Amino acid sequence: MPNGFISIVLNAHLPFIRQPDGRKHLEETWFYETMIESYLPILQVLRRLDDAETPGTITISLSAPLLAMMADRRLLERLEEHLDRLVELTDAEVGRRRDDPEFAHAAEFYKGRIASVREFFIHDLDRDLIQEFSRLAESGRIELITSTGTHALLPLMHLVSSKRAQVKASVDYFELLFGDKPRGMWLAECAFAPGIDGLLAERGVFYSFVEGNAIQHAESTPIYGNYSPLVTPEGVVFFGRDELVRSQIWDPEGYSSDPIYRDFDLDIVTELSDDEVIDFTMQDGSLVSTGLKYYAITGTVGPDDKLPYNPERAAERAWEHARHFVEERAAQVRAAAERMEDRPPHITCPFDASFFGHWWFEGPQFLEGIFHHAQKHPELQFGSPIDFLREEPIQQQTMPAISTWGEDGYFKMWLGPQNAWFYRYLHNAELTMRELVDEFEGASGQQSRALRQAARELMLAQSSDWAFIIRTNVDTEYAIERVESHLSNFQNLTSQLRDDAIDEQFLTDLEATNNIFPDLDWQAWKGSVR
Amino acid sequence: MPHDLVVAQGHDRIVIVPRDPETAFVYWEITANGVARSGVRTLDPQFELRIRVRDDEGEPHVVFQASVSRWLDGTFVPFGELGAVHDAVVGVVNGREFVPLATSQIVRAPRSRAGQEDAEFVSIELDGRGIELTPVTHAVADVGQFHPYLPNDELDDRETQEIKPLKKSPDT
Repeated sequence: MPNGFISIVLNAHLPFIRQPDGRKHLEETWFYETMIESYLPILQVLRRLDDAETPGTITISLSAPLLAMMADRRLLERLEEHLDRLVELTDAEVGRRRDDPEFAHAAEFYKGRIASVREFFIHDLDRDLIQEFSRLAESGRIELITSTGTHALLPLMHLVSSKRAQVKASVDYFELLFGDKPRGMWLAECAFAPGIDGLLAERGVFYSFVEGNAIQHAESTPIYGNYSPLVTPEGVVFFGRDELVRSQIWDPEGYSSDPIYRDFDLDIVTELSDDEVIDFTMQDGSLVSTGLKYYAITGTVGPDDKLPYNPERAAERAWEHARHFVEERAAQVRAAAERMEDRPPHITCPFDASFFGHWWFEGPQFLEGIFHHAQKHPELQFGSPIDFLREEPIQQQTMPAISTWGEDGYFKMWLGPQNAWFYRYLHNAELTMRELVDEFEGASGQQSRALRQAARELMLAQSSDWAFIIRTNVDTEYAIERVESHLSNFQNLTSQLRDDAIDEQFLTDLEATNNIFPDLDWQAWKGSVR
Repeated sequence: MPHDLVVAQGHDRIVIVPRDPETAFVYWEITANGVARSGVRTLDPQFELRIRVRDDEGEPHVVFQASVSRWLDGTFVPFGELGAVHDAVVGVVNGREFVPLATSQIVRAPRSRAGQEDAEFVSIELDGRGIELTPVTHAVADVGQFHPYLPNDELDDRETQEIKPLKKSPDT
């Protein structure tokens, strides 16, 4: 038995975006950027680890909105078109920068990288990421789970039935795509409150992740601190995020802020010719990132003083940071094991998947390096929560505390002066949805379609992304517009149902646009108490 | 929000949503009918709308109250005891008495320390894709309070750290 277990958990999620009108929308670029910089490179890493038979398992949560987008042929075609544009751009950049001693090398690097990602997406995966995730899950390389419905923050919702519907929708969708129910579920923003465990148990989900304070402030003192999970009376196991791991990677002094790594902000889009920039200009005139960035973080200096980015040096640093990370975990395990005597410690390392690649460009290399260096530490097992529970079946039973992984461990990010106002509207819609289910019990045909679409619109409005975006004050208008539009659609459908005057064209258009959860069970809202 | 979205439900109500151990968000809606039923006259010079937060742990008691000006609004309010159950009440005052018009659901303020329950253990059996729990007696060492493990200071030295050659070149 190993001396310690380490679970790396990646939550892959994007808000649902689908614009069939063919125009350029800001939010669609979020999908391209994270696919090209994070999800595809992470899959490349996982395939290399698999091919090399490097030991270890990563737990990956795929949210339903992201899965729906990964399954959307039209969106994938547009991703391919975007990659084609980037191939043209990187070709042009190599020509332009050929005699530039500072940037010629980086231009060549991007040309190779974009070609590699495109080749992987089109030929290796045949544009089917879901199939690749499924294959990796079957091989044991990944433990595949999903998250709460539309990535809704369950504790801030009003009705139990609304929370239940969110959980049920994502479990059903996961089963539809992968043929099996998920054993674990990522709670959006790691937001937990007592009672949520019961909703997971109802759907056969038996493990999840919480912030460390949920463990530390549990109903009984956690005997092993954050080094062992807690089991609720409903039979759901909660693993607490390790604070040290978070700070080593995230903090301003953490790995990802190393001066050698690529700077996130300085993109070449502002230097493009009028012909080229059109491809990266949205319909409102705003520019979006090309992903080609030639400067390193450098340090606390202004944009004019940034140093050129050196991809090879950055890769070496990521590899070295991975070695440091593994050695730190080995030391952490040794220190904890001295206190625990009867069991090995478990360290939970949850992250947003898009952090690796999109925000921290070298992140996928770091992930690969972890599993490479871990081979020199047989006392550590980099496995899934299931692996740990099989080895250590006796666990403390108590209820974790209300918490999130946001600011101070609670709800300030999603419930503050900037965004608290819209919960009244969301809660109103929940109450209305419950009324509709009672009013239209046994509905079929067009009425059933309208009820299903109303439920989809409500769930899309409940995504935690909108409150987050409003709080961060970036793209605020877009987030407000999304909540407004989904609630407006919901309200229109409600009126049409109650007036017995469903607008078939309106309904059909909505079904074509906001088409997440094809088999959504609108009756899941039935019979709720608060 | 656009004016065409329904903001009112048409009945007196108040909702409380915990935010952190010290704070909750409450929003409320008071109707003319509700005020009329209370018997309090809005033209009374001492008429006032008021929200209250009560700590319902043990003997219920008011831990916060404030006069509010709008019949439909929301605000942040303080909790009382950490981890205690609370509710919120909105009502009217005629100078002498508080007449409640609506009471919220009960919520528990988030805790900021562990509870006092005894530690219990269960044995987890992973049965196929499900899970079975069996209570067990589990003797544990007196491990005391866990403190976060402190890393070495290697990170602080990274500016001058020599980077070793790659043993494997990660393909980007």
